[in-house]
Amino acid sequence: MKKKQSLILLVVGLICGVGAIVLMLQGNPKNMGLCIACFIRDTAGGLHLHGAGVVKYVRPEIIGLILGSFIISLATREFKTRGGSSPMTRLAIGFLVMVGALVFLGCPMRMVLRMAAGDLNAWIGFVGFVAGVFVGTLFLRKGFSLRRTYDLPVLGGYIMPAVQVVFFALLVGAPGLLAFSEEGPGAAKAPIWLALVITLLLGMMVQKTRLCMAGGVRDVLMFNDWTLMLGTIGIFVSALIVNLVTGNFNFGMEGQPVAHTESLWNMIGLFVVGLGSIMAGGCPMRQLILTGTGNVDSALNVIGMGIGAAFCHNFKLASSGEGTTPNGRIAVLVAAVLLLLLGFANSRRKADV
Amino acid sequence: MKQLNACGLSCPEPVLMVRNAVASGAETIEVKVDDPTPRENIIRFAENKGFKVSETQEDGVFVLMLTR
Repeated sequence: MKKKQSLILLVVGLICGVGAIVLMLQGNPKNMGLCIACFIRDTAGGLHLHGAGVVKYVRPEIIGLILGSFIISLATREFKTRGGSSPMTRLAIGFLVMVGALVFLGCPMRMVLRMAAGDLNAWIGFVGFVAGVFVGTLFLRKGFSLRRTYDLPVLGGYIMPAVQVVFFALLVGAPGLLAFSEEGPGAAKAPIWLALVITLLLGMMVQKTRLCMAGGVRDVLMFNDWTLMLGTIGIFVSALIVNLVTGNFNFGMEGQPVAHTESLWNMIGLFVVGLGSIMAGGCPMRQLILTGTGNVDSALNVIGMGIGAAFCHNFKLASSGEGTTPNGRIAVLVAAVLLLLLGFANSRRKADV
Repeated sequence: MKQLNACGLSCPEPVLMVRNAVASGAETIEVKVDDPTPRENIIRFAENKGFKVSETQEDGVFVLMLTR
């Protein structure tokens, strides 16, 4: 079983990496063929939830990932509406993860894509990510739990997939209701239908394999099990190869697209992302996928990320290519402290679950 | 026999429950789990630890019997 799972994860990782680079070559921002945090942020902008003009676009990639997972989980009878495992805490974690991601400028997916494009800032940030996951595993060993989920009335699980259908209908049918960037990353986009089809397929494959970037590092640290990590390695390897072939590989710290060189803050930002992802049971992409399977706790985590993204831009917490902001530096430290407090508060040796 | 109820728990908590049971010396463990992801993770972990896994299903709940 293990060998087959490992092989499938590696192959799906390879496909994800190629898919992300194809999206970049077809118009998505540099080293951002796929970034869950950035694209949730763009979607928040597209829905007029924040005022940052350069990052507004209801991304079909987010829609595709949720709906791909939704379709495959219905087809394989894995769809089940469930929730009630500390929903408010999960929403808050989503918010805090977004603060960390927007200080670094990327979720774990984009971190890997940046690493595969030679961006040393992402390699430095990766150290912080692993540290965050490691601290998360310490909490897990101490009995950290957000408690059990329960079966819920089925309608709740359909709401987020239905909302994605509405978003897509607006995008193609009534774009005048949405906001669009005229310049900057938000204006860099792959064709809508291509982005939708690629991410629908990726959403299906990621759901079937349970690929998760935070979970991969976690399993290596906790169980010395590299199976899940092979997905991440696959993304890295294929993205690296395609970047080298297409001339998108640029080794170094300076001049990297949509990135800054403040190493300490790159590490702290991804520390927050790593820790929050472990506490929520998955990286931002995994939260999207779980949302598609009817997990309303993950849906709340995604909504938390969306609200967090809007706050990050409205309150000038998000970094830019020019660097971090004073507000962002304070906010990411506060986010780290709050996550640690949530970790202690939800840990006990024999969890009352 | 050690009996564990991992229903409703998200990964990796179910695997940790099994690991703790293994660490405490259990050679026969029955685990109830209601989600495919922890089910797969428990099977992988148990097989890595040299357990044989058999499985039944009742009302959407997987009952895994781990023995070595």
